Parts: sequence; C-alpha cells; structure tokens
Amino acid sequence: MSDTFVLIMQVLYISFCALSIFQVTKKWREDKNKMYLVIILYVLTLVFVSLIYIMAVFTEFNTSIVIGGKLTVGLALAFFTNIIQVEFVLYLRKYNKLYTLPVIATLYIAFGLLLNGSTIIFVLYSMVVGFGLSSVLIRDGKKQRNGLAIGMGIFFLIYGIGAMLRSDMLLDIFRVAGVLVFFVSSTGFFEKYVFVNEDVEKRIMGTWISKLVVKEQ
Amino acid sequence: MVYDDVLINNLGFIANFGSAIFIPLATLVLGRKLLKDKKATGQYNMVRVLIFLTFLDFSILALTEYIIKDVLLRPTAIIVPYDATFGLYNILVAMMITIGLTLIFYINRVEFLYYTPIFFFTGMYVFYLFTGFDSWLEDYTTLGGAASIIFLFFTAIRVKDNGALV
Repeated sequence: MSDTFVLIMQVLYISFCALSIFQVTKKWREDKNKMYLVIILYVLTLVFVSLIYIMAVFTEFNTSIVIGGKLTVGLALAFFTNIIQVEFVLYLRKYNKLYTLPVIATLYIAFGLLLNGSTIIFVLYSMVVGFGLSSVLIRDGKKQRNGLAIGMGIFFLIYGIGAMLRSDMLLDIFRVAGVLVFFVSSTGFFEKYVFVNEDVEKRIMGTWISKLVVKEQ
Repeated sequence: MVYDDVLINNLGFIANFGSAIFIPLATLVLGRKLLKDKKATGQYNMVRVLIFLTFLDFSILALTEYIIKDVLLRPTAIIVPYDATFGLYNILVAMMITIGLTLIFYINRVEFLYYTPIFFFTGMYVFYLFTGFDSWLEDYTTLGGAASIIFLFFTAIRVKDNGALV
C-alpha cells in the first residue's frame, strides 16, 4: 500500500474528526452536558492515534515494530483505542464500578500476546468490543432519539468490520467511512430526517381527520 | 529432641483442629448476624456480606487443611493438586485476599475500584487456564495480603471500629 494513500486517508480521517469535534463543541456550548466533553476526548484520542500513523509515513518509525512476542506498536495503539472506547460507553451508561474492567482485560490480553504467539484472543476481544458496544449505542440512541449516539454506534460498527478484515487498506477506508457517518450524525441529520417528529405527525393526522369530518358534514 | 518433635507435631495438629472448629463457628455467628440485619433492614449490607464471605472462605480452608493434612494421612493423589500453585489451598488464600481488598474499597467508598480485585484475580485464573502462567499468584498473594492487612488496620482506626476489622 502506497504511503500517499495512507496519508490521504489519514488526512481525511483527521479532517472529519476535527469537523465532528467542532459540531459537538457547538452542542456542548448550548447545554453544557458533560457527555459531549467525553465524546470530544474520545475523538481527540482517535486523532492522536491517527497522527502516530502519519508520523510512521514520514519517519523510520513503524507501527509493526515488535514490543515483544506478538505484541506490536500497532496492536498496543489498538488496545489503547479499545480501552477508551469501552470507558466511553461505561461512562455514558454510568457503570462507575466497571471502569477498571477494560484496563485489566487489556492487561491480560496484551500480556498473553507477549507470552503466546496467537492473536486470536485479541481479535475476539476487539470483536466483542466493536460489535457489542455498537449495538448498545445504536439501541440506546434509538430509544432516546439521540442521533449522536447512533452515529457513534455506526462508527464503532464500521470500524469493527474494517479491523476484522485484517487489511490495512480496507481498514483505512472503513475508518474514514465510519467517521463520515459520525460527522453527519453530529450535524443533527438523524434528528432532522430519520426520527419521526411525533408533534408534526399528530398535527398532520389531526388536519386530515378534521378535513374528513368537514366533508361528512 | 523427641520432645521437640512431639511438641511441634502436636502444636500443628492442635492449631488445625482448633481452626476447623472455631472458624466455622465464627462464620455461623456472622451468618446469623447477616440474616438478622437483612430481616431488620430488608436488604443485605455489603460490608457484612463481604466479612461473612471472608470467614466462609477461611472456614473451608481450615476444614480442608485439617481433613487433608491431619485426618487423611497426606495421600499423594490429593496433596499434590491441593498444594499446587493454582491448587485449592492457594486459590482459597487468594480469594480471601481478594475479598479483603474489595472490603477495603467498599468501606472507603472508592466506587470505581469495588470489583477491581475480583476482576484481577479472575483474569489471573483464566489466564492460567489458557497459558499455564502462574507466576503472578505468589506476588499477588504476598502484596495483596500485606496491603489488605495494613489498609484494613488503618481503615479500622479511621472509622473507629474496634471489632471485626482489627
């Protein structure tokens, strides 16, 4: 895979992340909800990881450098993103008592990679994190009519599918597609065009019924 | 010399026998208190539950230690898996330490650490089942044991409890 392609995808990724941060900051200014700050922190983490990938293009630094056993710098970054991802959902759902669970799980899985030559446990863990969290977020977002949560859920889902394919090029494409969906959701797209506005629907229904009543008279 | 051996052997037997009788009795008393408290308030007090679980664990440990080491005349088929790194004895000791650490976090209300010792120990056991790596258990038992004793002592002073904690 050419360096130019990686660079273009990373720049696109960071640009959409920056635009999403801008939109979420606007929302935070309106109602000062702490959840928005947590979302901003999560997206900043993604930008930080992406900057490391860009750095790898220009310097000798490589994400496939082996720390020990099967544990590489790339996998360590993936672990870091996974921890932040799980912590984010735990915070959203107010599961304060489980904050250390992702850290301990990651510690053992990373240590397992050092001792054991198999990455299967890491792939399974990433699948559970990616698909589990996305389904939780999409379900919650649908229930609470929160477009941003649905956007995050779809982002996790697309990111998870991309990571499962084990191809760097596809992962980059999926990541950009995911963050694009997240950006669209941060603009309020779901609230405007996807969720049915019950008040408007009732009003239309009311007008339609009253018209029928007038006709019958 | 003979008197020394007899004394040492008998002391070990008396200690195991005494533990096998008195610790289960203490567990029964704590269990009764726990149920009484539940009847009065309508819900379980987590601190009482944790203290009860510690003693229950200790009772099982005392009983198995007495039965296996003093009654069964140490048969190899039982002693080897019992004394193994992740054998019953070490697991019960580590569980006691885990509950002790959880108790400290509960009493001091450090909410995000409530289940951390349980996650850590369970993770260690699962990790052992998958990889056979058991080197952390000894360190965990030593460090966790020392930490739980020291912090329980300080917590007892802080909350002015001169009973079960000290």
